[in-house]
Parts: sequence; structure tokens; C-alpha cells
Amino acid sequence: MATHPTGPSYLSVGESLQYSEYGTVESMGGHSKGECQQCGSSSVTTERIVEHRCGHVSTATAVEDGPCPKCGQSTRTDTLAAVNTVCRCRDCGRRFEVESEPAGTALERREITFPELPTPTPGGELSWLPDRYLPTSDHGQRLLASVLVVVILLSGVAVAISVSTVLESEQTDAAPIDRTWEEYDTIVIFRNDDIQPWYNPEAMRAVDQVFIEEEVPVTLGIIPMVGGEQPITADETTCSYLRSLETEYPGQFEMALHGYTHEAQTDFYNGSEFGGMPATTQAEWLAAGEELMHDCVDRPSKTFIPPMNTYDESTVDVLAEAEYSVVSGGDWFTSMQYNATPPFEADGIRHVPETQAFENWTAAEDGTDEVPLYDLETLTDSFDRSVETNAVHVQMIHYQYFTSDQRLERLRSLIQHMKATDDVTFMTLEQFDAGLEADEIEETDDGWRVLEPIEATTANRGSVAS
Amino acid sequence: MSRVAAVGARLWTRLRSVRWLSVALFLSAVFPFWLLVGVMDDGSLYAVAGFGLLMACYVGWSYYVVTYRPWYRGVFGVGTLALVLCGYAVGIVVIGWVAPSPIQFVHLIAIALIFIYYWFIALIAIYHDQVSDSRATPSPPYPSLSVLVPAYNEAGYVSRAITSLLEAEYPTEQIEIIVIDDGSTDETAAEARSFDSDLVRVVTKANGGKYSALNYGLLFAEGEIIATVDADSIVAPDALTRIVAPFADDPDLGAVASNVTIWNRDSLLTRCQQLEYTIGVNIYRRMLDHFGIVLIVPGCLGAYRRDALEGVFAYDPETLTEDFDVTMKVLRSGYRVTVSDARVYTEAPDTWASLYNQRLRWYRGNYMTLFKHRRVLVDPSYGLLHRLAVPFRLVEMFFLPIATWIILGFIVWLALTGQVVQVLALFVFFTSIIVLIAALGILIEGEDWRLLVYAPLFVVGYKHFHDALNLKCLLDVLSNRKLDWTQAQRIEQRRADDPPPK
Repeated sequence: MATHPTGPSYLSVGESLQYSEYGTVESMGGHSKGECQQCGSSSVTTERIVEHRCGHVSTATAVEDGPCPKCGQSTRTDTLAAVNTVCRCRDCGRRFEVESEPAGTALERREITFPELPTPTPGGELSWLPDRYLPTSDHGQRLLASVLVVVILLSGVAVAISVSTVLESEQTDAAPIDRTWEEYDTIVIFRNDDIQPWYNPEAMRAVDQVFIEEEVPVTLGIIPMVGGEQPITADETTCSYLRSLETEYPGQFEMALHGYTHEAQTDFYNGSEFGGMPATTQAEWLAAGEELMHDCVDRPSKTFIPPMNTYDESTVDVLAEAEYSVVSGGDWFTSMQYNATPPFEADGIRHVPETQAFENWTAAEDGTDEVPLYDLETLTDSFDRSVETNAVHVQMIHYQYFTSDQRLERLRSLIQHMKATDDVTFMTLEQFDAGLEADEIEETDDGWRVLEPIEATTANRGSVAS
Repeated sequence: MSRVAAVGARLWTRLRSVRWLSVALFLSAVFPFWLLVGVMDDGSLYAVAGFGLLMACYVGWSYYVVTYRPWYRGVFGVGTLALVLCGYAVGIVVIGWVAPSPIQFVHLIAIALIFIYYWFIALIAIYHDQVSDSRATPSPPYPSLSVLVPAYNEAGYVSRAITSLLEAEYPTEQIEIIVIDDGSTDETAAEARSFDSDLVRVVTKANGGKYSALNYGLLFAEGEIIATVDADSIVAPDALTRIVAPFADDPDLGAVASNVTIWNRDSLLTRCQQLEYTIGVNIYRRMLDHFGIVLIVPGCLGAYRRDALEGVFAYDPETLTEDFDVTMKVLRSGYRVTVSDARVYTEAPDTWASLYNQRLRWYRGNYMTLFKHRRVLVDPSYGLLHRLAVPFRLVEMFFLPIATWIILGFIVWLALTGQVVQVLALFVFFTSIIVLIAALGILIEGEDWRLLVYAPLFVVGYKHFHDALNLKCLLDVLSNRKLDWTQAQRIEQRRADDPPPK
């Protein structure tokens, strides 16, 4: 309705209501017939209609003697506005207006034409379709509406899926990061081998926690088919834990392939899983391992850590064929096999061997699972030598041996020693390789130049790959 | 064996009565939401999940306490919820789930509200659509009905409204139509008087406002049900029987709302308004209907139990939205308010200026009404009106208009910093959810599928126009200045005023 709330005009103080409450129609000179419109009775009275300032509209008698029944406020004359005077039949109670000219004049009733009114139909309105496409039966129309719903549904799902892919990749390289070149004496890479299900999971989490708390990146060497018995994917707990590391600490945990079954298959260099095996077998194991890695974690890297730290030329060929970019064996082995100072590139892959083991294998007693750890001094000395020679320091650990607070504390102490040393940076094997590939890590006469944060390099590479 | 067969037959009948298409459409939103979860970081996800859990506890408790244990109604009410949410906000910052940034918070709350809108409001709406028994089927005997038609300068429209009422199905001995001419300066009164008869009476008064006209008209009404119809509306043939039907079996029912449909869908603007109505009526209002706490009985067509309307002394002058105000009063007096399938057609503003004027009055009136009834927010005796309807309305009217603009600003900043793809992806993502919600509304209502095309404007564009206007109206009301009645320009009257083409 189009109406203007102009509000009533209230009577001024002292001004009386213009009419007495009751009167006859005749005395008002109003209603032309002087009888009730409904029952025809001539017993008709008039009533004054007033509006209190609270908006209450009623007969004057209902309000003039007391507080307003609606708001409880005074009903002085200056709070009441005269609205109208109407008739009321004493017999049937009907109210009607006093007819007066010219308000009572009526126009001739005109022809009414209604606009075309839309009529909703079950299943949705389809009349806008050309007739030749519109089924004639209700059943057919409902079927068509159903098809329409399914199309909407599928297109909604398809759009959402495609967009989420974009969003995921966008998230990884979301905001532009300011990067600066930094100079270091050495680069430290931690390599935590033998990640596997069902074996000392508490130790695995405790070791990871040390890296999380110290904010140091680490490459995890994951065994996809431990012992050749069950795939890692059979243990969803381990896989979901690894995925949670990826999502909660992006760039801090690299998921690298650590052989296939991790069992010595040949006598190559006193024992090897891959070294000495036919190339086809190695390729099959690699492919199978990679498939399991993809099922288990969100973002497996292109780093291969051969069990027992040994691999042969076929391994390298197979890795290069599968577009792996880093192989990380043992320092002693790589030196003997390649006679080169690591890290180096050979046969299409970068070789970044371990520098120092945390565990002292030679001191281990036969017949026990317990392996002694090197003392802190040995470990820090090894690290200090890397600093002096500006060598990349790859510190290998095996989580399963960190079964006591004392051992965990030694790991923490080593990390803190490294962090306390000037001009040292930490990264994963993948980040190291990506940095060199992108010329964002350079070897200099005094050590290394790194475009920090180096995580951005792998993040960018990851998004391109995806 | 026969018992098993009977149970099986009942189950089969029940399953056959399910509207599977709307269920499938509703459940399909699992995909976009699942994907949204996939792209959220864990902290945000935990924060939203915690918020959802809190709200689920609150809503569940509210329903339980209002329905079964009213003596606990003061426990875990709106105030406690607000405190808990503030504590929760601090908590998620302290434990590091969310960065202490206003934009981050607004963004997160917006996502949480989308979740709640869909998985609470829309879920109840779809449930309501499946099992609704509130939309009673009309059947005689019908109660006596007085239809009030307030009119001010409605020449050219009022005849149509009266004709549609006269053509509506209702026993003539049970109905009276009272047209109240509120001091029109055009031929409204004379046009209405052309229908003077036993069924139609025209009463006149000096211009005093719609509330005054309705209150005046009520003095002449004799029916036990009072219906109000705007003079520019057209009621459907079965509208009157449908709108009185729910009163028959429910003495606690105070008022019944109608289903407003726009008939002039010949422009982008009017189609957007129809989609807005379709979503609002079939999703949001259905949820309120489920609990009997529908907040607005529209002036286009609404019906009140006479006792309920007179019990609250009918209409007040304080607000610009007398329909919202009187509905709140009826609800506060303890009556339930629900929705019927009674359809009423109205003319939507067809220009932005006209829409601006119409909504200026609506939104100002909404804020005025909420301020007027602010006591509902602190008084637990109002049950679900206190616990659900008004808090939801507050979020809708106070938080969303601000949040919408903050998020738009954030998106513009993202775009300016080169993250165009991400912005586009987010837009498409949220549009897909809005499209699903709109499709659900269209399917339930049986509306025109082409309206879906306008759904993206409810993510950016049309929505921002309304939210900006809401903010302006909030400031207008807070500034405490006198606010005039503003109205959309009547299309027919504008055409009549325009000189004919030479």
C-alpha cells in the first residue's frame, strides 16, 4: 500500500472533542437512510472515533475516562486526535460510516484486466521452453525437471571440484614472498630414515616433535612395503599422521622414498636392496614404491634414499628414467663408487650422501635391537668440520633408536649446537636440489649463497608440477 | 508375518512420499563443502568445526529446553552464548588456530555462517518441506473473515485488488471486504466505492498512515479472522481459503503469512527480487515456520486471529514496517506464527531508484522494530523467539552487511595484489553453493528455473546493494532523526503519468 505516515493532528489542550459521544443519526444529519446497512434496524447511534498518541484507535468513550488501555498513559484531550464519526447499530452492532458528499460518490466500475500471473508448478516452471521441447504429460515434465536438477547438481559438483584444484595450487604459492640472498658457511640436511608403520610410533612422533619445536626441516625416508609383507597404506594411522605433518608444517617435512622392502637382497657392498639387482626389478620396485607413496602421503618428493646406503649404476638409471632428482646414499659408499666430492651430479641425478650417522653401528652388540648413539662431541665435531670445509652436512638418523628422553635430548642438543653456530642454514634434500636447479642456491668460495626462504623454491616447483 | 508386511508397506509408503529430487539436490552440497574443507587450513577448520559444535549444542539445548524443560529456559541462553563465543574467539587465537586479525575473523565467521545456513537452516527447510503439516489443506466450514484493504493513492490498483478478492474462493456469507481509504488525493476512494455492496464496504479517514488506517478498519471488522491485503496486490483464487486453513486446528496460532510472488518479471531487477523471495521464503522462512516463529506476516497478504490482533492492540505508529512490528507483538504475546501456501502477487519495483525507496522503508523499519522489541533478546520467557529467531535476525541485519563489505574489500585487495585466479576461484566456488541453495528453493517452490541465472548476483552485486542500504538504514535509525515513509514508484501510475508517445 502506498501511504504516508503523516500522523494524526492532536487536539490542543482545553479543546473539547467536537461531538458528544452519543447522538442519533438524524442529529448528525449524516446517514441518509438512518438505518443499519446490515439488519435494517433504525436503532442507530453515532460514535466518535479517536486516536490516542500511542496509535490506539477506538471510540472516544473507551478512552476518555481513564488511561489508554493500550499504553496506560493519560488520555487528556491533547493526546487524542479525532479520526471520524461513525454509526453503530444498537441491534446488530455493525459499524458503518456516516455517508456524506462528495466522499460517497462512486465511479463507474471499470473493466479489470489482470496481468499475466506466473503459476509455480511442482518440479519447477518449464513453460519458457519452446513447445516442441516441452513434454505434454505431467510425467514427462517432471522427468524433464528431474533431468534439469541432475544437470545442475553435476555441474555444481564439477565446478566445485575444478575450482578446488585451482584453490589448492593457489594456496601453495598464495602470496608473493619477499626473498633475499643470504650467505652461509654450510648447509645442514637432516635425513630421518626407516619411517614405517607399526614400529615404535611413539619414537617416530617424539623425534618429529623435536624438529617441530626446533623449527628445523627434515627429510623422512619412508619404507613403502616394510619387510615385503604389508604396504604402508595398510596402516592408515601412519599415513594420516604423515599427511598431517605435510599440511600442518608445509615445507618442513619432505616425504622421500626409502627403498621398497628395506631388506638386503644382494651382497652388493656387504648388503643392498637395490644394488646388484637387475634393472627391471629395480624399476618395478621403484614404481610400486612410488605408487604406495602417492596413496599414503599428499606430496611424495623425487628423492630416493637407498636402504643400506648403497645403489648401483642401474639404480641411478632407473631413478633418472623415473625423473628422480636426488639420491642420498652413504658418504663412504658414494666416495668409493664415484670418487667425487659430494654433492655432485652424475648420470642425470644429484648425489647428496649422508655425512654423519647418529647411530654407532660398529659398537652395536650382536643379537640386540639396541644401537648405541655417538656421543654429542663426535657429532658436533663432525658438524664443525663441515662448517670449516664449507661442506653440505647431511646428518642421518634412524628414529626407532630414539627411545629415551636422554637420546632425544642428544638430538636436540646437536640441533641447538648447529643453530648456535653462525652462518648455518637448514633444509631438506628436495629443497637443496630445487635451489641448485633454480640457481637459488649457489656454491661460493666461502660457502653457499641461498635465496631465502628456500621453501618458496619447492613450493613454486610443487605448484607447477601439480 | 502379516505384521512385518504391514511395517514394510508403511515403510514403502513413507519412502514413496519422500521427494527424492530435493533430497538429492540438498545432499549434493556435500561435495562443495567437502572441497571447501579440503582447501581450509587445519586451524581454520578446527575453529569452524568448534563453532559449529557450539551452535549445534546451543540450538539442540534451546529446542529441548523450550519444548520440554521450560524451567531451565534461563540456562545457556543468548547472553551465555555470546559470552561463550567471545571466550571461544579468544581461545582459538591463543591456541593458534586463527591469527588475531579482524579480516581473518570476519572471513572465518562468514564461512561458519555459510555452514550453519546450509546445514542447519536449509536442512530444517528441506525436512519441513518433506513432512510439513502446517500447511493445512483448506476445508469447510470456513471461519468468518474480514479482509482489510488499506489504500492511499492506489487509483488503478485498488480495483484489481478488490476484484481478485471477490473472485477468490470463499463463502460469501462468511466474508467481508473493508477498503480503508487513508485520505487519498486521487480517485482511490471513488474507484473502491464502485464495488460497494454487501460484501465490500469502503470507509474513509484523513491521512494518518497505514497503521492508523488498519486500526480504523479493524473497528468495522466483524470476522473472527482478520486478513490484511495491500491495495496493490492480487490474491490467488485459493489464497483466502488457504490462509485461514491453519487456524482451524491450532488455537495457539496467532497469525499466518502468505507466499509473496512477483508478477512483473520482465527485467533483471525484478527477477533478482523474485529469486530473493524464493530463497528467503523457501529456505530461511521455512526454518522459522518449523518452530512457529515466523517473524514477518507480510502486508501484501496476512491473516490474524482476531483475539491475537486485538490482544496486542493491533498496529503501532513507531516503526515504518507495521507488518514486522505487529507480528513481533503477536509472537511476544505467546502465539505461534506460521506460513501458508496462500499466494499473493505483487508488483516489484522495476528501477533501482524505486527499489532503493522501497527497501529504505523496509530496512529502516526492520531496525526500528528490532530496537523496539530489544527486550526479546534478554528475556528467556520468549522461548525460541528469544533463542533463535531474533539472534539470527540480528546476525542477518547487523553482522552480515558489514561482513559482506569487509570481505569484498579483502577480495579486491587480493585481486589488486595479483591473485586474480584465487579470487575467481573463490567466486565460482561460493556461487556454486548459492546456485544449489537457489535451486533448492526453486524446486520446493516450483518456480521458474531460469531464475538460477541470477544466483551469481547474490554473491557479488545485488547482495552488496542491499547490504550497503542496510548499513545506511542502520545509521539513519541510530541518528534518531525523523524518517519519512518512502515508497517505490507504481509502474502503472507512472505509465499513466507519462505522456503518450507522439
